[in-house]
Amino acid sequence: MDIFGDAFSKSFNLIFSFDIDLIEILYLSAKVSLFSLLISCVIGFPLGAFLAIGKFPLRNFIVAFLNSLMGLPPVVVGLIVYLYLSRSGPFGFLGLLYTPSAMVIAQTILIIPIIGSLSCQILEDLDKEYKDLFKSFVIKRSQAISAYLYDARYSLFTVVLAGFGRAVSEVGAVIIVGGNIDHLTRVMTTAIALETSKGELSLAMALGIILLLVSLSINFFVVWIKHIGKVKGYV
Amino acid sequence: MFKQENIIEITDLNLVKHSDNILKKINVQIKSNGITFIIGPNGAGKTQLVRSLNGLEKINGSIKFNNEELSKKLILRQSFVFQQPIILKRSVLENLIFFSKCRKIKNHIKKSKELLKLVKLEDFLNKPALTLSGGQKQRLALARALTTNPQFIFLDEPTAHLDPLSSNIIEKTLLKISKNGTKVIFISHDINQVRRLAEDVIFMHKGKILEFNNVKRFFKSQKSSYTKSFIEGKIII
Repeated sequence: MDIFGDAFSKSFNLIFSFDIDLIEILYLSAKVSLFSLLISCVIGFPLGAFLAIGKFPLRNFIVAFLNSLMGLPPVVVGLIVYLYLSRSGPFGFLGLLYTPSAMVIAQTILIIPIIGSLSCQILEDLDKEYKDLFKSFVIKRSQAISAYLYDARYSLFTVVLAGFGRAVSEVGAVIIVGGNIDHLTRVMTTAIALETSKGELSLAMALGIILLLVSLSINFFVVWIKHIGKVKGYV
Repeated sequence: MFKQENIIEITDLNLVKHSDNILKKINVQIKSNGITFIIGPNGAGKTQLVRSLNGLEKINGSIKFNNEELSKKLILRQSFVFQQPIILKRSVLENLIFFSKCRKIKNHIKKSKELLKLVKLEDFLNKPALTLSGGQKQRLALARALTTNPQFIFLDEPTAHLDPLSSNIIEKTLLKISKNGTKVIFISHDINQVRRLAEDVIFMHKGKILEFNNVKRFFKSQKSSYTKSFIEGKIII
């Protein structure tokens, strides 16, 4: 219990003294997670919408495949990205391995199936509701997709937060492709893993507390957004 | 007032869904400019017939509007009001604006507000449409159907389960647009409503049209015993 108590007191000191190393790690974590989330949304939402309203051969197979990709093991993704970005790999010439860009790539691959699959389910339900109305008004597919994305905004926002939660708490892939290099690719999760292995529990605990706070905040935010949507009468 | 010609010609119309022969060789020519009612017991094929007219069903046979075969171009001149109003998850005004914007209608905001005034929803412009009552939602659906100035409008039991006020507003609006040249095809189970509004009446049973006549003649004498029983409120099997 002494170890825990000591670790907690040190971690709170680190947090409230605005430790520069801690801030750097937090900044990089947020930057990598938000950037990969942005790319995932740009690709995932249109993909989800296309699958939700599209009727083409193998559509059900692609949806099932995308659903199964939600459970992709991060270390496998990390390994594949590593092989592609390593010196001997096809994209080795880009020199991206052990950079934040490589971490963004790995996280994007992990989040796209979450954004695409969850948005597909939400938009598919909306399509069932609106289909006849839009067909009757001869609404173009692009206009329908924009309407679906707008009308499902409250539900889709929770999908975005789910994607962010996955990105910010991911460790397996980013440690392989980022290398956990101090002042370059060290993020919250990789730092926790490293500091724990070194026995430096105070920094690991400080980061753990922040990670838990981020996770809790996201969940409360999801509940609040849903509540706002219901109160406003748009859900 | 100038009235445009509104002729609907249905020839050998068949509709099969899930192996069920829902519409069986329908042949009818609707020439009147007033409101045409389609009545009949549940499962008669009324909804499927108007859905076919609006291009919502894959049919066999021919449907012509003013001698022109049903096409996307023609559907652009039609509107449909569904029995269960389909409401976009946005404000009342935005429910109209989305469709008028898609059709690039000029002065769409002003026109949308006028239409909402017509159905007595002018006080709810910025209210989320999902929070409206059932009757208000149906009036909104009617106003929305009118945003594109349709030449033909199809209504599938729009006043079923509505309060007298909402029914009255819908009926008055339909009479007004009908007088202005829009052809109205209206499905109803309310015989009194048919007497009040109809120019002519189609009676359907088991996927077939058993009777099509001017409203006065329709109620005066019926060719089919089914029609007679339906009007008298008897159970039809």
